[in-house]
Amino acid sequence: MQDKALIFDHSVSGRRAYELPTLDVPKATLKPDLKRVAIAALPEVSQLDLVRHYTKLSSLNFSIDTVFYPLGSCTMKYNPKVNEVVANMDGLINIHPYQSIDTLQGILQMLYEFKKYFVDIFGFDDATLQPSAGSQGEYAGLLLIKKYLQSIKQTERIEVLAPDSSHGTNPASVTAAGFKLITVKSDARGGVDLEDLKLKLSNKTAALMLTNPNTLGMYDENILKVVELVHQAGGQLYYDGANANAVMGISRPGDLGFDVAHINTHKTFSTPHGGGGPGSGPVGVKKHLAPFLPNPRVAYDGKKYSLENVKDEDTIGKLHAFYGNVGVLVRAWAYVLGNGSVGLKEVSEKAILNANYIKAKLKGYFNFPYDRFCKHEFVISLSDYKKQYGVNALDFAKRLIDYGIHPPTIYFPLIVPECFMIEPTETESKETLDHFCEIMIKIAEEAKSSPELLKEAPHNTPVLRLDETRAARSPELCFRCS
Amino acid sequence: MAYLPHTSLDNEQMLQTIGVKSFAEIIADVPQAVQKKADFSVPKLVEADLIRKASELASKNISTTQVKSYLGAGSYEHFIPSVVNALASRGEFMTSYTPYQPEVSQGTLRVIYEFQSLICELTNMEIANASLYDGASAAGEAAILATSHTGKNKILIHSAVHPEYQKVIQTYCHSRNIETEIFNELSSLNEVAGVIVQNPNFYGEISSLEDLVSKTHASGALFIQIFNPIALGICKTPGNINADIAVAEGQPLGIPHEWGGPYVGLFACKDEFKRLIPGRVVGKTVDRSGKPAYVLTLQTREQHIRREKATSNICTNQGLMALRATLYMSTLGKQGLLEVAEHCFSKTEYLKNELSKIKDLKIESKNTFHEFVITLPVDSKSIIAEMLNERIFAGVDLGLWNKPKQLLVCVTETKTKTDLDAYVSSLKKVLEKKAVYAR
Repeated sequence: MQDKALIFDHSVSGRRAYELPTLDVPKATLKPDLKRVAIAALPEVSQLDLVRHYTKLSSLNFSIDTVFYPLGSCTMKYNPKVNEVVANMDGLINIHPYQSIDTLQGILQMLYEFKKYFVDIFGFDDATLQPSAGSQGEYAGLLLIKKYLQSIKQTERIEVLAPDSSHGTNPASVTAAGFKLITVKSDARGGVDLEDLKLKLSNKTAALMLTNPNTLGMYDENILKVVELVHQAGGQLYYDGANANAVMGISRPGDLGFDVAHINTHKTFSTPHGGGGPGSGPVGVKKHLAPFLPNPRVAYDGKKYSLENVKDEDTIGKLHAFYGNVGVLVRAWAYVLGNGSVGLKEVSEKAILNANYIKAKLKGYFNFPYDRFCKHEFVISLSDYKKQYGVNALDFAKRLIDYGIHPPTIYFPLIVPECFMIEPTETESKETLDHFCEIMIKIAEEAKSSPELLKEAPHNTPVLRLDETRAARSPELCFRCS
Repeated sequence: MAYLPHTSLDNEQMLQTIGVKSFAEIIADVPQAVQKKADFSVPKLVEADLIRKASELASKNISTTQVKSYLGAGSYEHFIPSVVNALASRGEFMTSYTPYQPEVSQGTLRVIYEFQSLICELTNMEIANASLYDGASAAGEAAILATSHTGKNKILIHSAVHPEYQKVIQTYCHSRNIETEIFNELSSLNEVAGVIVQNPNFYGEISSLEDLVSKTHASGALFIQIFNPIALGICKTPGNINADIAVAEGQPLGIPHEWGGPYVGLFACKDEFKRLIPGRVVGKTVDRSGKPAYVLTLQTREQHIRREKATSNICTNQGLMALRATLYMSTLGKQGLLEVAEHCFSKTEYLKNELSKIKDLKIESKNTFHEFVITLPVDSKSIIAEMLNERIFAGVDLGLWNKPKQLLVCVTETKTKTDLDAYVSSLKKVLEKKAVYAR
């Protein structure tokens, strides 16, 4: 029997997977000129075939629930099941965005409380929960800075600085917000190069976007100086919270002097990655940026919660038709309370401990470009393996798959050649970390003795290495149903 | 701690391996003053207490399962087949990452490919992406594509596009110095890159768009339709009218209300724009043994490669929601989606008919799908409050957008004839009460 890869392969004319109640009012017909030309040829399958198909598909995936996922910058920590129980409560999931405020006091209270915790954890004064993901949070943050600069009549500030190690969303958000990107170099210790920064700061600087710890897993040793220099030049500081898992109870971006920050709830606050979302990117701000936060704002008068609106033109506008990815924020609320401050501080501590433990165990086998303690993640360069044995970071990554481990982030950040970025997260046990190190060392051995094992990896997966060039050269993006 | 496996022995051994006596040495590069200030206060609730607290808050809301809801305006109530929740809650789908390593993500990749294909079939468009955040941001991204493709810098937005979508489109455009203008009748298309029209529109009305499309194309601009995926069960498709880009809110496809999100932005367009589209796209290829396989493709458009020149800054999208939409469309299937659309349309016509017999009411919308506007003799707010006593969410108060005496009423397949008759009698009762007080 041919591999029925897609649901369309199971389709047989006349089959149904679901029945509706009988129509109990007269059937009305649409005017002919408003009707669709031909009926949508969606699949026709039985419910059992459908369940088998998708259940089988799910088994083709790696997931946190099944394997170790040390993806740097992604924070693949355990997604607590109780958060799903909370998010699926009838009173939280079956509420319409335009119900009367009196019927929404519970959700308003939940989001108001979450916002309070969020600004306290990271050291800010106010926040918006509207951005749908980290990069939309970055966009919102840059718009807040833009609006603020307009309000103090400094619209000539059109440049935003970002380090060469920054995540791709940073420069892309800079463009989306209508600014010009200026790249700042990193120094040999893995921090912002102060001399290069001084060169690039000017009266055209709107902001510096920074992740700290950065994408190398390093805490910038000059962070307070960097903040001072940017503020002195008249710029604002944007904190990319992608690495916030390392800072809770240790270093609040607000205390460092950042004016605005986003975090990714699908990283630090455990909301599920879902194979590519949904996430959420709440943005914290200092007082001076608060007036420009998008409408509506959740307010509380001591007795009742409500939604407040100021004039739209006084804000950065809207990012979402409604209020953001509320269902995701509910899970984040559950995570924050499920840990409490005592738990969240331990989260960051153990995330850092786990990363440094792996680092210590892999010493001597791999090239560490930065000779410092890391925070929650670190990078290694596999250039030596490439030079000596002809195996690169991609080959190493694919071989890890054969051992049932999801590869770390590869080829990022761009400033480290043949890069592996490893972030274990705090929810992994010592045994898992030991096993990972054993496998890494084993593969390093294989690279020397039998490199073809790496070059042809993976061997044991549902599909082998793919022809990605062909996919891009002649894109086939759609199965034609009719 | 439930989510932290470290015992004190683990701690000891790990610190030893690292070569330090205490954790403080590892974070010594964080200034002491900063560490001292980093304190914050959040109570801790173990699982049982967390569930208790969440239930308390949940019970302070009234859900749409506790009343009969006639609310639409961009978020719609439809039957969600039980298989959708059962399959979408599988940990292998929910806790997996973006499919950058295709060999271990064929589940997710095939689902996305199915999703793209189903959206193409539904809309009769040539290609679709893996989803965006929501309908509003999808419309914003469509506007940007139109300017990239045509090289022109102005976007026209029809006045009956959802008012909140208008705001999001304007936010997306203005930050990139793209001009926007709201229009009622199409006049000058000079320097216009794209024309955005919603059909069915915010007020529930369906129109023939062919004329608008040809005028738009004659000037070299792109036509962007904001559609409703359930309406396409019976209504003319963006593909049928030769639209260039079709965007929508995909929430009606198996996603609950969830107070407005997470939803899923649908984005489909003509094949010629494929190198300009935002977001992820999955393509079919083969692996090195010749076996068919699926993979993220055309990635050079995206932020992780193109950086400041990317077609969009989007990274995380709405993967799990796209899975739900795929499950919904596959479960309803060819016949099911047609029936849902027919039921929505027929039940709405029934309610409109019955309400038209009430003399204090005026039904504003003519050709509608599953929503219509009624003008009341008093402010909608007061009617909504009274109807709530009848356990009915009567409709969306258009007073939110400066039309205080108008109500937007939505009827989907979830309402029985009994429900609809009850709506009519309750509304009659409420209006009579108001008229008595008014005299």
